[in-house]
Amino acid sequence: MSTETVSTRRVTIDPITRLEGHGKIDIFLDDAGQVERAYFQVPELRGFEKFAEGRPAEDMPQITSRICGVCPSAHHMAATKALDDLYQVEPPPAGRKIRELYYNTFMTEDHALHFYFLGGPDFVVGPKAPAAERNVLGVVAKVGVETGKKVIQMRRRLRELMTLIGGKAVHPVLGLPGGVAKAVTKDAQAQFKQVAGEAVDFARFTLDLFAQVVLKNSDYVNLILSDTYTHRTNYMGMVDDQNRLNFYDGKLRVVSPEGNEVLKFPNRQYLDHIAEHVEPWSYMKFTYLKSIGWKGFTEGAESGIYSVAPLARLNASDALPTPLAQEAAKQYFSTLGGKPVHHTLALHWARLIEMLCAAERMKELAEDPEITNSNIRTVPTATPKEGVGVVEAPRGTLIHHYQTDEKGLIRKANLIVATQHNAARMAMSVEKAAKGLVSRNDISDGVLNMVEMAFRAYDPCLGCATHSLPGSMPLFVRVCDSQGQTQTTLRRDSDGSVHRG
Amino acid sequence: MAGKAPLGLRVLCLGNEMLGDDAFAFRVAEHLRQSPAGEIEVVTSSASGFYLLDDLSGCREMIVVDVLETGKAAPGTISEFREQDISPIPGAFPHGIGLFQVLELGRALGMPVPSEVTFLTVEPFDCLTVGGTMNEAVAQAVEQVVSRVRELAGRHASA
Repeated sequence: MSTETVSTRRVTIDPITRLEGHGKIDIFLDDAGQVERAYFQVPELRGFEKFAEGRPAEDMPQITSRICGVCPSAHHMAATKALDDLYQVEPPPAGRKIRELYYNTFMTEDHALHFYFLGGPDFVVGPKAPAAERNVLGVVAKVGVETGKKVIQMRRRLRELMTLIGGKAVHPVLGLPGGVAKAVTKDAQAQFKQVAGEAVDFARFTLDLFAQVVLKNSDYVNLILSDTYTHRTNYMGMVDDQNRLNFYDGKLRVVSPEGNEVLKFPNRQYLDHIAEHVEPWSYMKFTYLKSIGWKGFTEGAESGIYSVAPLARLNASDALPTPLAQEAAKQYFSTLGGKPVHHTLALHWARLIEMLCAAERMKELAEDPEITNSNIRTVPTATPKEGVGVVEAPRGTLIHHYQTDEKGLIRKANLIVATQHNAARMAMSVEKAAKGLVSRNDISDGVLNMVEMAFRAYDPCLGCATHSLPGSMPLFVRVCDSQGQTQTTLRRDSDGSVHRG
Repeated sequence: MAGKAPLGLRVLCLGNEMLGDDAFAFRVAEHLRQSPAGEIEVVTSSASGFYLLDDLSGCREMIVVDVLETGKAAPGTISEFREQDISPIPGAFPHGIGLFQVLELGRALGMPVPSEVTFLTVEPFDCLTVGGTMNEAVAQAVEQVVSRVRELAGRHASA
């Protein structure tokens, strides 16, 4: 570190990923060497609206699912629902249930993957473990090879089912305006029943593992509860007519930091309630609640900032719709001091409860006799004009909004992904963690990791990453003066070693 | 999902047709499929990180074609390296869990992932514009990479 005195120093944490862009953190230090401000910057894809213009709306479930290499199924379903709205058509009960069955299968798979292999390095291996161990191999070492194989096996079976009704697991061709392309056969239903039961058992096993590894470790629990990772914001999630969590359909509900309902509105009205704020230092548009307004990066009921994703969904719903998940949620809230839970790192636990919920819902739908009904589509006849489709994606509320001409060609398309809803809270998380942990004299690897954890729990989309080669690169830290001149550099390598230049 | 590689060699072309230079590997795949050099299994994928596991399973040797943004080379610059040339790196982002880690995970769990992996990459100019066109220098690198894949595949076949 340079000891040269400058009025403001900028510390840049820059994980040099490849094309998915640079999720970069800028930390500005004041004269005293303490954090003055911290910014989290996320690159976004450009040009989607122009690309979509003039294309048939029916192509959107395929086009949008190809943009994102992480959650194509969520885009596919949001786009399909937007087409329903565009053509003013309701799928018949079997069509709707098949979609929901597919979607809950996807949610189960994605949440399982996230916990074990994506979020696991932070909590299963441990936030203070050496960097070289904080990866998927570290997770396997901690939970055992057999458990690792179990995860892979479960994932494979869920993917096979998604392929069975979705046509393709990666880029599904299931959704059509007014229904689905393919009915569920009796044989497929039997397979779903079998795997759904196994998925419920697997989710319970994973929650037990979380209890053993995380909840019995007071250091982890204290970290979850620590003020550094706590924000009192509004929360948004989709609920059914009884205010129970629903991943596939319902109204969007917002609760205050005190847990009181602030808003509940049909998907189509999202523009009446959500606005976007722009900051000069970021391309990201920060969404906020119109009725409260943008009050800067501040917490509390007076701030329009809200968040989405599992933590928010559990807060925004009165209950979970399935019995085992509801029991798990009760334990979650009682352990974490009641509802709503404001601890960002509790997101990992909330995710597992949702996995159980999705698996249970999958089982309910697989056992529903109507799931094999051959009436799976209502053919649309209305003239298209405008449609909005919303689903709860694994990482939060996903909104697709299309306007078309009378032939159904796109005039305007707008997507709001989870990362946008969470952007303001993420920025606050990074700043708070940096303020509590970073100083001129301590920008160590361990500290950087704790700052990273502040946004990693959200699993932000970085330019809707397609794939990642080499995937994860070393962290680079640049210390700059107020003129942008590099004073010194810090690089963390794969073995966890830190090199200063 | 990838099938079984006939010769144990698979060419995995990673990218996204809709994102400008990220279509690079897909163009390479098109060329390879038009005039196959022996029995090369060519697989394209737009999946990310861990979601590539299926494409990595079921072959002994692999050539991965992709773009690689280093910011240190001119667009169109080709790099070739092997898996062992790069240290496996801990993830900075859950979204960004790397192909290397997925390979290691596969091995740790006894899955049939390749033991030999060669990477052929090109420096892109822009991979963030939906519907963007490919940079001229990047596009010009397609043929060279196709030739190199064939050369490597030929060596593999005669080995």
